Amino acid sequence: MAETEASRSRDLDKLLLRRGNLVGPRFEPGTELRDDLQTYARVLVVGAGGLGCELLKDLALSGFRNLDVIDMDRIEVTNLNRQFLFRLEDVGKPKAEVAAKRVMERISGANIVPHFCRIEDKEIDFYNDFNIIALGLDSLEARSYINNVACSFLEYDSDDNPREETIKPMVDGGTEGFKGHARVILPGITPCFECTIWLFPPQVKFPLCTLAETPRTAAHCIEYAHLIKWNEVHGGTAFDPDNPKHMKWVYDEAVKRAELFGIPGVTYSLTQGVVKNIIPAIASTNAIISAACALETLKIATECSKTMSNYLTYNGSEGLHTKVAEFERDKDCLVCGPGVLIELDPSITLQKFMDLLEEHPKLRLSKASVTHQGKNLYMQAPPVLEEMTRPNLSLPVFDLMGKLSKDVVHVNGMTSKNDQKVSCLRKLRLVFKGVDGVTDMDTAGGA
Amino acid sequence: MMGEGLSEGKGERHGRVMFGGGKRKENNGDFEREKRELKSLLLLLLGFIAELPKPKPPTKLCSSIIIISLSFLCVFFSTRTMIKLFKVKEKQRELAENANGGAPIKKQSAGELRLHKDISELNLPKSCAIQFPNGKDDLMNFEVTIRPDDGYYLGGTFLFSFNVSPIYPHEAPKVKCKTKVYHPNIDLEGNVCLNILREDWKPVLNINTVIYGLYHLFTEPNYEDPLNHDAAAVLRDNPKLFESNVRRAMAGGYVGQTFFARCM
Ligand SMILES: [Zn+2]
Repeated sequence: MAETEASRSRDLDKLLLRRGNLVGPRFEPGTELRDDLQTYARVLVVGAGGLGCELLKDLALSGFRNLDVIDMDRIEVTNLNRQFLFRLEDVGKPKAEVAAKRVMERISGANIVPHFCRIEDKEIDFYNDFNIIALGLDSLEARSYINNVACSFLEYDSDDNPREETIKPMVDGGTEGFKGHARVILPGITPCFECTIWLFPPQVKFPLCTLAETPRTAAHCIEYAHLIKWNEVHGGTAFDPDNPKHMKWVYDEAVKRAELFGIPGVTYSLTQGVVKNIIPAIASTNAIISAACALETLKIATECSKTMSNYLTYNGSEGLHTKVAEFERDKDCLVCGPGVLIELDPSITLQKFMDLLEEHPKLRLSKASVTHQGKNLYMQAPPVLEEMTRPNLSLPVFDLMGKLSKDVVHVNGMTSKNDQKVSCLRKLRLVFKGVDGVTDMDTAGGA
Repeated sequence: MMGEGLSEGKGERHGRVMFGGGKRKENNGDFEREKRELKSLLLLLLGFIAELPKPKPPTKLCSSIIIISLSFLCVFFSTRTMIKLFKVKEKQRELAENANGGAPIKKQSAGELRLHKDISELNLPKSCAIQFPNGKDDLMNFEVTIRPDDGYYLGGTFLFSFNVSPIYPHEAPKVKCKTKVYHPNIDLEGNVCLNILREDWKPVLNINTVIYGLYHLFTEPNYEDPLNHDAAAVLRDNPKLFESNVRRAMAGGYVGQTFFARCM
């Protein structure tokens, strides 16, 4: 048994038990490090698709034992060519559950908890239980959501420096055909998704009238069936891209349309590709990107090497090209930035607070609208919202924010830049004087 | 199946690394082989990442930012390693297990924040009004009523629904016309052909621009971008007939085979 254990971690030991010149400044090689990795590191894998399957297996083989995986999808027959943890008899079962089971069967000691649900279904606290979040996702929305959650744990000290224990590292992988990326996000230190959202080119959208009147390509025919014909025929029923019957209907209609205009090239897989905006996945790209992500996860946890800084792109379409680019943070990022720290007396009303914003040397913000965790505290416009939020002006901000000792609010309004009035949107960290969250908890505990 | 839109980074090209052999992995779940491959890949990646020349940051400004952020790294990651931190957290977690968790807090997406700004800066003409059917805290779904004060559609009332994505303004709002209308650029299902809603959407545009765009569809219907082919042909060939068709539809009645409910 001991012998098997030793041989199993032989390669990991080369990274964790020896010194090296690539190691992080605090790296302490030794068996304790390996044991701690197995005992204490908790990693959440988001997505159990092509990349998620690879990630789960790679992490389990890299010495991580406490893993969770979350995915809302069920296994489809078309997944089987690359989502190698799944078999024909698994079709219809939840991906997260089957993936967890298969990896645990093959890698003894791995303890993988599956979560068959949407990422939005979990409470925010669920995500705080993990030390690192590894992303194997196929949508910008989902990435943006997890990024928002991970950055929400981040706290800054009074000098606007991130507090290390609140940093929730993320490792993100993405592949598209023969291309892929892997990146390390240390909120507060390296750019978050929102800092670099421009990296994702907007999806190409065809004009509706082209689809309706002058289709020229197979994709036009498919989008016509998907966006126009579907509603015409099905009225209230929303199109569900994950429903194979819906997809088949769109495909059949697209074929008819293409025949009418003499356009070649409509296939079922192209229909899926256009409607879901996906490019066929390549198993080897997933494997390479996942390996890079798993390695980064290991490096973050153990510091056996400095982490990649901070964005690796991989292109295997012609030969092989790969590079690492170091992107910079947006210091005013609404999601990961520190925002402007403001200390307030708990008795200050919203109106008084807005007056303070006008005088604040860093802000000079007039005509403010204020929002706190999805609640609009005050809106300058339109009149219907101004009227609804006006009563808040005379209430204390502390009460409006649910009597929290500190929290983030966002304000927008007008400010001056080079003597010109410009509109701006700012993040503020409000701290209420004399209201200490910790003291509060102590009192609660003692009572 | 995975990534959505990847683009090349802004930095310059650096090392070019070739993997030899071109061996393609098969998905038969052979873990032993997977394991071997992973090991070699891990070491390979570790090696080549280290060997790559340090990428040049896109601008001089950002190089200083990077230096600052690197010095941050040194300052902040000076005492405990991450794994020690995990250890402390795990102990805390075990202790906290019995304590009840805080109330779920809704985190606003960057899209919601930007939308909040758009909405609070709305400056609409008298002919356009906005409503929030789900109350003041749901800005992502709202309705706009347009009452054209000029042109063929004078006197009509047209309702549009807006649905805004959490990644707004990366993605345009989804807009539908809820009032059945005889219009060359709006079909009978409520699809709207407005360039800034699809092919010409840019993140610098905003909700105000979209509402103005919709308003202009009524003052200047355009037969060159037809969604309702019949209406477009009539507008092009016989504007007088088009005008009377619009009147008939808005008053509630048939145009050809299609019935329109009254919207005046
Ligand atoms: Zn950011």
